[in-house]
Amino acid sequence: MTINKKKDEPFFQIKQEKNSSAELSSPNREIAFQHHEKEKREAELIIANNEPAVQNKEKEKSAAELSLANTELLFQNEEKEKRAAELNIANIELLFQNKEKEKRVIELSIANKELALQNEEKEKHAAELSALNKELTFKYEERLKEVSDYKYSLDESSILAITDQKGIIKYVNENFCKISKFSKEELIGQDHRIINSSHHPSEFIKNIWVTIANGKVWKGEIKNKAKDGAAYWVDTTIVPFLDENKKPFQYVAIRSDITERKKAEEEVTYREKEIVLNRISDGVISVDNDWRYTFLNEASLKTHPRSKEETIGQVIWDVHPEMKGTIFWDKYHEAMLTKKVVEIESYYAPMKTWFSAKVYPSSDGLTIFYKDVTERKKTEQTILELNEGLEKKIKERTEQLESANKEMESFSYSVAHDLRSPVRAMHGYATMLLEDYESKLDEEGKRLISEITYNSKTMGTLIDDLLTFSRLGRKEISKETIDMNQLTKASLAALNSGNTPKIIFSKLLSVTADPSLMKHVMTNLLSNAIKYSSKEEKPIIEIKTKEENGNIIYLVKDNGVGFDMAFADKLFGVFQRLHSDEEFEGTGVGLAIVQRIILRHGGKVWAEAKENEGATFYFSLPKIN
Amino acid sequence: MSTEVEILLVEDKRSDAEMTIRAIRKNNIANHIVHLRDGKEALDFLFGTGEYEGRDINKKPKVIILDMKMPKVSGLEVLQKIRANETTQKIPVVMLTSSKENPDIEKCYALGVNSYIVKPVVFDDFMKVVSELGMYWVLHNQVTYK
Repeated sequence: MTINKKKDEPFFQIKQEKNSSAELSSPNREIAFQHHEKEKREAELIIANNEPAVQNKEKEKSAAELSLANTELLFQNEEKEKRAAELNIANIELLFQNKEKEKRVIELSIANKELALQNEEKEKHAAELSALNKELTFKYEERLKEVSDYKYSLDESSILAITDQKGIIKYVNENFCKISKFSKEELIGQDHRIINSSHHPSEFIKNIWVTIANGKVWKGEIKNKAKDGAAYWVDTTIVPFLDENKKPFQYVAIRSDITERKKAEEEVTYREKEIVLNRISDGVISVDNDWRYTFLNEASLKTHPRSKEETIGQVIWDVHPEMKGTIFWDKYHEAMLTKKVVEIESYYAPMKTWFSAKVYPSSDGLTIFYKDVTERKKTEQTILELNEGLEKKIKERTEQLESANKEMESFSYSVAHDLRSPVRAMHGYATMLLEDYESKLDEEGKRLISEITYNSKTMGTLIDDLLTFSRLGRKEISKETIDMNQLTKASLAALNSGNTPKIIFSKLLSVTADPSLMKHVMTNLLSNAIKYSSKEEKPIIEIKTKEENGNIIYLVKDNGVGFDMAFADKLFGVFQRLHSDEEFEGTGVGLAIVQRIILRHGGKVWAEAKENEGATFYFSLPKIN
Repeated sequence: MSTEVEILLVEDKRSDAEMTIRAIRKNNIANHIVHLRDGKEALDFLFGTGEYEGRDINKKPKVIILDMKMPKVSGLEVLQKIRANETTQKIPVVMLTSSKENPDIEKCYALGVNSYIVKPVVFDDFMKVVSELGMYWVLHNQVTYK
């Protein structure tokens, strides 16, 4: 862990004497106070001692002055014997003054003795203080030793570091140096980045700082890196030391070495990883930050020249020198540098193989998953080529189809034109024969001619229906909203029903479809309904609509002959008929046309019926908004 | 060819021509029908060229009945030339075709055909259609170019 804070304070032990232990600090202060008091008293005593001395000096000075005055008086006596009478008085006075002064000297002497007594008392007091002081000093030293013992045991047992509030290392113990393989000189003044293993995410580091900066103790396991690059794990407790403002001014990190345990744990993880990764078909290798193999799974051995044991610890570029300069070399370096996942899919010329690789960086190096994708690439290439070929073919086929369509159209036309003409001629000449030679023909002759006209007519219809069927299949659908009521009316108008049925419909739902094609559908279904109900006494045809699941369903129901549901699947086939021509005329193309149109609209057509109970034809169309 | 041509029928198929003429005659629509067998002949006739060199081209038919599919020059080409020439461009042209599948029908209208008829297979219908168109163009239509 890294502590970066700074404070220009002495080291831990000094600071501790000053501040750490509350119990010690208080008697210490007391001692200091008592010292001061003592000194103050002593000074007072000296001053008191000096006072009587001054008084003595003054007395001495007064005595000298008196002596001088005596001499002066003797001289004046000699000089002034004449004025003896006057002076005698003055002399007596002076003597009296002298006696007064002596009296004062006695008084001063008494005072002096008193002061000396006081001084003695003070000295006695000072001696008492000194004894107390000694006692206190002893206790303080005892405590200091205790602290020092604690520190010693901590130093011995733990890896210790102290940083300032900015994390700058101020103190490390021997254990710290031993595990980190840095010297004290190398460490002090640095922060903990010097031993950062990059193993932990930045979130983790941030969390440590948030905790301790808030004055809380942080505990956890940290992976560090020694000077020689070897990783070591420490169980760490970081204690922030707070100043009077409750702000940390230094951090004490107490660590213990848990590398062995961690290694054991990692070993287990490694084993587990190995077991799992040996099962997968991808090659998996790991290299450390110095590009040395730390792991190879079974599958990876296929692309490695030597055994796993021989390869582990080798530098990847020594094992695969041919990789240098390839995109793999570039990308591996990119992953190592950016610590971001890198994916590669490239042809690896030295092995004539396509590889797909995913490179996962971690603090410990890189783990690379890779696989041989040559087969897939070949397939892709083939698919690509096939696609290109296919596109070309599609284009060709489209052209062919277009030309075939044109051919088909011209074929249809010529079929229509060329088949219709002779059929028309047959019908025409047979009719003309009958017209011009009726009188010369007997009934059988006339019947034979009528067979010719009937069959040629049928053939004409067949040709027309077939052409319609093929034309509607080709016709481009152009959708619009259709009013089905209108359309039904128009369809009915185009049909001439002999036995006029009752036709019921109202409010049919609109639909989006091709109008001309829908008209074909409706006309076909209605003409069928009319045809197959024509033999009923009261033919009724109903047309209804309903909306269901996004579809609009139409039904055309008649009360005619119906049909056997067993043959329902044959209804919509071309030329498929469920009734003979004698019963009901028809070519069998109508419903095939209906189905074709509905299917081309994405719809569905079906029918329900019972013999002699009528038929219902349904068709559904998707509702388009 | 001194008599006025009432109907010019251009039809390569003998049977269709015969039936058409029969229908026209039977309904007394026209007495003067000129039947030509292909497009080239029709153009020569109309413009007084080739076989018909020297023919008075001012004697125009009241209606031209053109089969669409013919050898050499098709009905469509004939129509195009008729419409492109000032002397013939106003003559009514009725196009006959064997089926409605003919992709050239649209072109006929674009070129200014007056009518377009699908020849019915059924003879009675055929007779009816031909006589109706004949009646319309020969007997009722007021030709503007005279």
